[in-house]
Amino acid sequence: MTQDPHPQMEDFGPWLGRQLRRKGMSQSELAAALDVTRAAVSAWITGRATPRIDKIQAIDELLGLASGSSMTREETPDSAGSIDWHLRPAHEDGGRELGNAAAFAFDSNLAVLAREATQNSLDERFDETRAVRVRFILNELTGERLRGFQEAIRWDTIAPHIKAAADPAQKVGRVLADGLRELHEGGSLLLLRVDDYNANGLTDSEYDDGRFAAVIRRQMDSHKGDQAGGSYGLGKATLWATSRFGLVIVNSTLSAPYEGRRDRRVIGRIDLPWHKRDDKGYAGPAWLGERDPRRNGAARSWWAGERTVEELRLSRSNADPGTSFLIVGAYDPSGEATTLQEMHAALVKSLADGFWASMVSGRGKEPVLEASVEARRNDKEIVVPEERVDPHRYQRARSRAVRAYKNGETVDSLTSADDVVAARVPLLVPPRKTTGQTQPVEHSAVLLVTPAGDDEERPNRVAGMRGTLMTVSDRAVGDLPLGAPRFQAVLLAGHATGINDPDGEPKLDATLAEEFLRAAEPPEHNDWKPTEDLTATFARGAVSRLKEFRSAVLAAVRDTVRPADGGPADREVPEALQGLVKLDPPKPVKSPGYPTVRSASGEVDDEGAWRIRVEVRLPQREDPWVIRPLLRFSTRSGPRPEVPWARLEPLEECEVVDGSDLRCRSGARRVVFIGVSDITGHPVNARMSTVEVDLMRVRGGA
Amino acid sequence: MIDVPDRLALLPVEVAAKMLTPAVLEGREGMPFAAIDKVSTPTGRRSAPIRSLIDETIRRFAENRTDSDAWLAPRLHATLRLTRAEASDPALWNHLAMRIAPDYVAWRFPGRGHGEGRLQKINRNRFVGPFDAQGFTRLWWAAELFRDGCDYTPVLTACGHQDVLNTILGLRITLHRPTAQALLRMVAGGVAVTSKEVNVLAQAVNAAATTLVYEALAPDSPRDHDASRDWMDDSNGVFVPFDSLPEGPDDGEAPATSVRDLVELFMDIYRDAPTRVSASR
Amino acid sequence: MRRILPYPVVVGALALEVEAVRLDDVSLPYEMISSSNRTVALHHLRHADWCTARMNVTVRGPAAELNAGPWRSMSCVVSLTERRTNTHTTTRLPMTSELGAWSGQIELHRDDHVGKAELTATLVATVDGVAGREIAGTDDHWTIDLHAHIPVKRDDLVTRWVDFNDEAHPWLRVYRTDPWVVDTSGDTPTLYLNSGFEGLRLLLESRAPADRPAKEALAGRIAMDTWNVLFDAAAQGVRDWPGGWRETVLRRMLPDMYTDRSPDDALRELSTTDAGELRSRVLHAAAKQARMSAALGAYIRAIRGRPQEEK
Repeated sequence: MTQDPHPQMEDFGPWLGRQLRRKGMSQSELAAALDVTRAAVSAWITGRATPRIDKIQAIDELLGLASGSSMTREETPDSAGSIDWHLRPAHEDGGRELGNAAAFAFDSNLAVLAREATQNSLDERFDETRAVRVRFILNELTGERLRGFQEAIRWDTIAPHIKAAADPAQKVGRVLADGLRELHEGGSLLLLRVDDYNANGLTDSEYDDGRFAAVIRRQMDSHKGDQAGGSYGLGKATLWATSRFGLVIVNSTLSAPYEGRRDRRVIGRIDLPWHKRDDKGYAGPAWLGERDPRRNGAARSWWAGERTVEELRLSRSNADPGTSFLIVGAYDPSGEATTLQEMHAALVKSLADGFWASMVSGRGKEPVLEASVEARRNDKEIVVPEERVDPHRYQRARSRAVRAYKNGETVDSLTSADDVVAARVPLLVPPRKTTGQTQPVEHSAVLLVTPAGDDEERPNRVAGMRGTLMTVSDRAVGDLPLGAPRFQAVLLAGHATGINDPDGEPKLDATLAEEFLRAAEPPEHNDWKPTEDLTATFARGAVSRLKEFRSAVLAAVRDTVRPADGGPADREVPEALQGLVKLDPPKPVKSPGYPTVRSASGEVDDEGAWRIRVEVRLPQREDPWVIRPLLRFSTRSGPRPEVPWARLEPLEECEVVDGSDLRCRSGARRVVFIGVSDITGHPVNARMSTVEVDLMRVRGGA
Repeated sequence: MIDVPDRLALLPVEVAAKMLTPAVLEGREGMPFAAIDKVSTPTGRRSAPIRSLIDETIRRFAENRTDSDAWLAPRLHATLRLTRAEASDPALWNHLAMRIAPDYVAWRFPGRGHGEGRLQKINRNRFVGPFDAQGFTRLWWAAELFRDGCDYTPVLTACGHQDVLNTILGLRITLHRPTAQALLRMVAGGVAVTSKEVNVLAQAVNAAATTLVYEALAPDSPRDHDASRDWMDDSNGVFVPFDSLPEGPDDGEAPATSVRDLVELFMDIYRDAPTRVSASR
Repeated sequence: MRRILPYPVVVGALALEVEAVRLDDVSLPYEMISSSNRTVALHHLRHADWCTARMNVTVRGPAAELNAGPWRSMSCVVSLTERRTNTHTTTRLPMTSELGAWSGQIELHRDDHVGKAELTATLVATVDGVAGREIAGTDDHWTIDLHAHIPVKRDDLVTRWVDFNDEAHPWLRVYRTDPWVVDTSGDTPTLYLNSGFEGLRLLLESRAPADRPAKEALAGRIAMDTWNVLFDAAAQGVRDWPGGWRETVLRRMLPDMYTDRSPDDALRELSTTDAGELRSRVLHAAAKQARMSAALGAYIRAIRGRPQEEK
């Protein structure tokens, strides 16, 4: 989707409708003012007719626009003051929603934000042949830039309300108070922008069912249960929960026009608790937008200009449809990540853990998802450069498995560390109760197994996925056969198998399996197990079919990693004898009862002699230890020739006796000396040698 | 004359070791041939070629048995054509030493008598022992490790000096062919001749091997295993000459440049070795 | 043992991985390669007649340290060594595009190997103008085991159940009335358990809880005898560390025999210790290796406790 340099002029009808709404003028009022019938105005707005030129001029005048605006479809400039915060008045019945911002109560952190926001973007993928691109940008503003931004979001209007709501007696109020204090004392404000591209964007009307309303209006309507806005479920609350002020500004490029337009649909929303200001009560939520004269306290989104979105830090990087959420006063609600670097790392890790499979691409194909994270200060200064999350870096073995499957490069048995085995695991999907069908349908799930490197922290697990490669279950595989290699396994079921019929649509069995498994997921979507939904929806035996499937998966994993030749026939050691006749080297003694070399270092001096500093550890003993250090030249094999010392220089707690022995001070635990080798005894030039120092106990020295 | 079985056989170490009683080693009792035959597993190899080689050795070197090593080693190797894997099985060698040619072992390694009138006791390692000590393996492996492709000439140098055989054969540095060839070339060239010199050279090169990787400095070329196989498959129809040097398996020579480089390096190491300098003072 | 070298060497670890093995041109199942056991098992029933095993290996060094260090003209060699066949084959690996990593193929010829081959890697560089210096080596070698069909370390001594009366093992017939025999004449010491000895196998492999004290006391007894024989075989005529299993036996037992002596001193001490004195020290060390006191103590408690319980 490329940007048209000469965008087609908007149709007159939608334009006029919008201008009327802005003015709060009804179609009848316009008809009266222009002296035409209401039906005529209605015909203009629906595009069934066009007004005469004199009526158009009259419309310009009436709406207070520059002459000719109707012809060019110009807008009232949004900087003219029509954009501001519009607060919902307190409920007439006096009800106060102190916890209104459910978002604040949401147990959240950056990992949850990244997961929920990205899952929403995946669900809203627009062009199914291309990747959804999500981009997380941390941007910390200070000084002049901070003030400029505050002006753009009309901070002065909303700040007094935030202050008023910052009641330290309430949980939500404390967060707000903290946020204000941080802003004043630290003089900085952190913005976290979450973009998606090649997603549907916030389409549809302001208030009725649709994506826009689902995100902007029904934010807190969790009690309604029915998620009217398609995939935007409760998870979107995490966006607001990540703001210290509950404040998010949105700019969306629409995949389908609304009011004839697509670009830069902008609106802001803040979620404050009930509060009072200048003796007036407010329910809490407020919107940044155009006042909607017909809806008390509500505001509409507006079609912003390029400059405005720039000032709002919401310029999108290309014309692809999708949405940018700007979280104002972003922070990690769990308090774990505090610096930009830590927050960057937390986001990358969450994306890698949750979406590695969606980010794996087959050869010559785009992945389902591309994600990146970057961190800046004051728009320009790069703190952490943009990191494109690489699944092969964070989930090496599993990513390799999925890529091999996408490329058709799986094999039947493992022969190398890079191999990926693919095996079929049958899933019998029982018929739904509602259909008249009685026969189950067999679906072939795909099990991928690949060796895991030593660096894999949690090997020997199987990750179950369906849909757009979302990980549902992650289980350890037990009872592994003796001699099995470390591995990672991935189970692709339902649509995740990617097996389509000739029309490119998923095959029926895959869709049925998808529905079956979704019904077997608890609300957290983190396992497949018997649920009420499963027993209510599917015919008898559904639970058994699910259990069979799960054990078939584990059996298939064990089968794949089982060593070919079977049993350990040559290990006849009776169990009772095991460990008693082991011939592996003994563990080194930690504190031996004899002197040991604790450290030895040295170099070859100008004369060609080894000059070595040796530190000896002595066990506790009352009598002085007498030890003889032995210098040996190492060899590749065979005996190590011993070389005499030219001299020994005691450094700490010892003295030389008989020229070659060291008498240690009684009670000393550590002695240090320097030894210089006698060159004439070197079997080879010292510069070509490796040497070792041994200690020999001197007879009679005890 | 020993009544020799037709075939070489495998005599397991476990049995062989138990048969080497002091009485047998001191020659008070003969080898228990019948017992050996009972527990040995015959191979497809004929014993006659080996036996005639042994007879000829004892005949030729009656006066100076140590000189026989250089003569026998290449001929033993060319007669008993084995892979290294086959040669690593002591059972074959046990049978050879204890059943086919115990007379050779007794002749070549008479052992030392302990005091006046005491019997001479043969070191048991000459019958059943490590590869660099057993009566036959020391020769076979010297030929295997010191030949240069099909050329047995360096083996003559190695086995011509008892010091070389005793000192160098057991060192692991000589498992790298260019190292072995370079050392033998220095011995053959008169750089290190006396027992003392050979020891100093070997020790200096062995010590320097802890800092210098000869295998990387002077790479060997891969051996041609197919050529070795062909040579081994020939083994039955081949006549090993007594008066001229036989030919070994043509599995490739150690690269000349590698050997030359190592000779140069070893000359420096040897020249610089303080023990050599102090000994010559 | 602390070794001192006259030039700077690499501090970080050198990691060696065997990634794939082909027997002639047939790929070996990956489960025959165990990265954690650092072992490759080459005995595959379906491909028993192979001539050449080709292994893909990768060596990784500490990239940052190698990059910053004083080493020039770095190269990497891997060596395949088997003492029994006097074979030591060295292959130079080509560098990969990854910093500090080398990767390539090495060959193992069956004619040259018979049991276990060790695979090691060495980094070589020019240091201070001297070429060919060893600057790093692998701490832990890989074992290529020609007889194993599962890649596990087999460092225990060999234990075999054999009927000592069986014709197939004539040398054992002498011992046919004995329950077990330890043989140290081969490359690896072997403990032969006499399956023809009535009840031995039954008791030693019993899973009944009631048999447990007796079973463990028996196992301790067998183990103690074994260590006794192993020590005698290892210590015979020894002057320097003998290497192989003999060295392991000495290193395990000497610290218990001479608690206040370093292993080197203890080894020297052996030749001067009076025979009777030595025997009692060996028995002590063998009992400790076999964990005899715990097993015997439990056994005594069991047989003395039983009648009282029955009252």
